[in-house]
Order: sequence, then C-alpha cells, then structure tokens
Amino acid sequence: MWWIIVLALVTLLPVVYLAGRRSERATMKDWELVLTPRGQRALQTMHQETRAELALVDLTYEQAKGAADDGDPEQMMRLLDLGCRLIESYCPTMLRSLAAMSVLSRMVSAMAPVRPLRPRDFKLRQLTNLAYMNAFFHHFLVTTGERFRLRLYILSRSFLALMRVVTRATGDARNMPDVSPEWRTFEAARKDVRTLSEDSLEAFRVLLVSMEAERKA
Amino acid sequence: MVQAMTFLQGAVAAVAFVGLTRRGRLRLGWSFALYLVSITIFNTLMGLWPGRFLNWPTWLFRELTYAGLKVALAIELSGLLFRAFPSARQTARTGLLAIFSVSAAWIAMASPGSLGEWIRLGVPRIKCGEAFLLAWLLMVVLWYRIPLHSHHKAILMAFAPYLLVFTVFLQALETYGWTGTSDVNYLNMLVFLGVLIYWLIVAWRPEEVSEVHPSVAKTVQPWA
Repeated sequence: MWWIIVLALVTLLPVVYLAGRRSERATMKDWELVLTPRGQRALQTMHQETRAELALVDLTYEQAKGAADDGDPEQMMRLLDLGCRLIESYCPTMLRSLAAMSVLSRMVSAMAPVRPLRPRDFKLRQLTNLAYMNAFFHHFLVTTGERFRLRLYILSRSFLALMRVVTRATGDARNMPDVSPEWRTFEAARKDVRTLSEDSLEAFRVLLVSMEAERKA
Repeated sequence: MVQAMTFLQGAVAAVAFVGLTRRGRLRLGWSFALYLVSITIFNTLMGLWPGRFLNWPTWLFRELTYAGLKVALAIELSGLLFRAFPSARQTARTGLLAIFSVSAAWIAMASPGSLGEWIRLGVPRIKCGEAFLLAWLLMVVLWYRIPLHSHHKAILMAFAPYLLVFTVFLQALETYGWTGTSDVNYLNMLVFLGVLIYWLIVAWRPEEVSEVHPSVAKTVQPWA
C-alpha cells in the first residue's frame, strides 16, 4: 500500500501544483482569442510583424554581403552578428506561438485537415530531413488533431535547427576571417525562415478556422 | 479534543454551505453541497453525542457515505466542466471509468469482511481511488486548458492532496496499530479543518467580474 501512496504523491502533487499556478483569467483570455474576431486580428498582426522582422533579416544579410563585396570584413562581421541575433530573437517568439497553438489545438474536437511540410520547399538539409519526417509520420496518425500537432512539433524542431545552423555559420565566419563566409547557408537560412514562418501562420489560420467551425456547430 | 475538533469541522461545513446558498453556487455542484451537509450532520452528531455516535461503525458509515458523494461529485463535475468540450468529456469519462474499475477491483482484492478489515484495508483504498478520480479531472482540465470556476478549482485543488494525507493516516493506522496514531489523527483532523476553512472562504467570496466577452464565457462555461 505504501508504494501506491508514494506513486500517488509523485503523480498527483505535480498536477495540483501546476493547477494552482495556472491563471484562470489567462486561460479565459486564450479562449477569447480563438472564439472572437480578436483571433483574426491577432493573425493579421502576426503576419505584419513576421513580414517586418523577416525584411529586417533580409536587409541585414544583403548589407553584410555588400560589405564583403566592398572588402570591409569588420562591417560584414557586425552585420552577420546582427542577422544572427535577429534570427535568435525571432525563433523563440515563433516557438512560443507554436507551443501556444499546440495547447489551443486540444480545445478543438474536429480540426481542419492540414498537409505535411513539403521537403522541396526547404533549402537547408536539416530542415528538408525534418520535412521528410513530417511527411512520413503524417500517414501514421489517424486524427487531424494529431497531424496538426505533429506539424507544429516539426515546425518547432525546424526553427531550433535553423537557429543552430545560423549560429554555427556566424561563429565559423568569426573564427575564420580569412575564409569567405558560407553565403549559401545564410541565403538558404533566410529562405527557410520565411517558409517556416509562412507554414506557422498557415497553422494558426487552420486553428482559427477550426475554432470558428466548432463555435458555429 | 477529538470531540471539539469534530464539532468545529461540522460547524465550518455548515457555514460554507450557507455561503454557497447565499452566493447562488449550489448549482455549481449539488454533490458537493450534499457533501457539506453530510459533514455537518455526521460531525454534529459525533461532536454532541460522542457516546452514541463517536464509534467505528458510525465512522465507517460516514466514510462510505462520503465516498459515494465524492464519486457522484467526480461524475457531476465531468459533466459540468466539459459540457462544451465533447472530446475532453469523453477523455474524462473514460479515465473516471478506468480508475473506478481498478479501484473497485483493488478493494475487492482486499476482501474486507469485518469492520476492522474495512477500516484498515478497505477505506484507505477507497480514499486512494477518490484522490485519483478527482486528480484525473484536474489533469484533463490542464491538458485541454479548460477554464475553471473558482468554486470548482477550490474543490479539486483541496480534495486531491487532502485525500492523500488521509490515506497516509489510515495506512499509518494499519502499519503502527490502532493505539500509536493519536498524533497522526490530530494532524489529519487539523488538515481537514484547514480544507473546510478554505472552502468556507471560497464559498463566501464574491463572484469575480469576468474580463472576457459574455459570448465567450457562455460558450466555454454554459452552466455559469
């Protein structure tokens, strides 16, 4: 009997702790986001912010390339660092959004269908592999909700992989000033971060559509 | 001391019940209201007429009544909390059924026949099952991100840990014998008094003003 009590303590107390920490007001606000036009506005805002941040990333890398062409390695390195920091700050924001979407998706009983990520849309090898993984496991899952959450999971892993690639490439450029930076990697990362963002926005749109359909039902 | 504490628990439960009635919260959980009433009745009887009611058969009858009410409460809450969420409701009900079946089988395995066996073997297992039933609801609430009314949150948050404390007390009773547990008994009674005071405060607390759109609140908590 004592082992059951220990098991109960180990499993139940964390649940009580988590429930105690949770704010019911914040939970209600999440529901408001997906059940009212606020969700559509949030989607538009996210769209605009994403576009602005990605434009800044593009601009930074183009200027870094320009500085390299002009033979100004210090300026190039500064801009590469800035680009890396922009991506480093952008990715966690997207990761938080994806995590929130994953939680919100559990509220929907019938999720709209989603397609898996397309490997050919990605330039970086690591991301292509993750997209293949998504396409593979997609067919093993039965419900659209599970497929949706798999897609979110793969998107999260992809953002993390992209962040690692950019950080490593920037580090290499800093450590080996005599060697030309891997412009192809930076170029691929820029394109992939855009693709990942569009796929994340698409996921948010699907979530809102599903929530709306549920509300009407 | 035990007598006074028992009576005090009954009095606190009664005031909590009045609070629920005054604030119009009885409809948020009829089983819980009945549970408070039964605490009031049993504890008043035990506190005022200990010679007649403060004995093991009455204690066992009281615990079995509470157990039935807690199972009813779990079923009632699974219907209320997840009314707007069919998927969550299905998960909650499946889990409740599984926990109930496993607990029933576990109690049957102990095959308590006499009063002593029921107290030493049956009741701890019942309490453990109750703790899992109510904690399961809390898990489903967390997993599906269902917003809780403060009343429901207070019930679930207090019950799960208290039932565990109570199970530990009963297990100590079995392990260390009937005589060496008076301190544990006082502690158990004190914890339960704390739980009742917590419910009393929540029962009398005015309703919080909702910050979300009324249509959202109506969708998510249609029973409110």
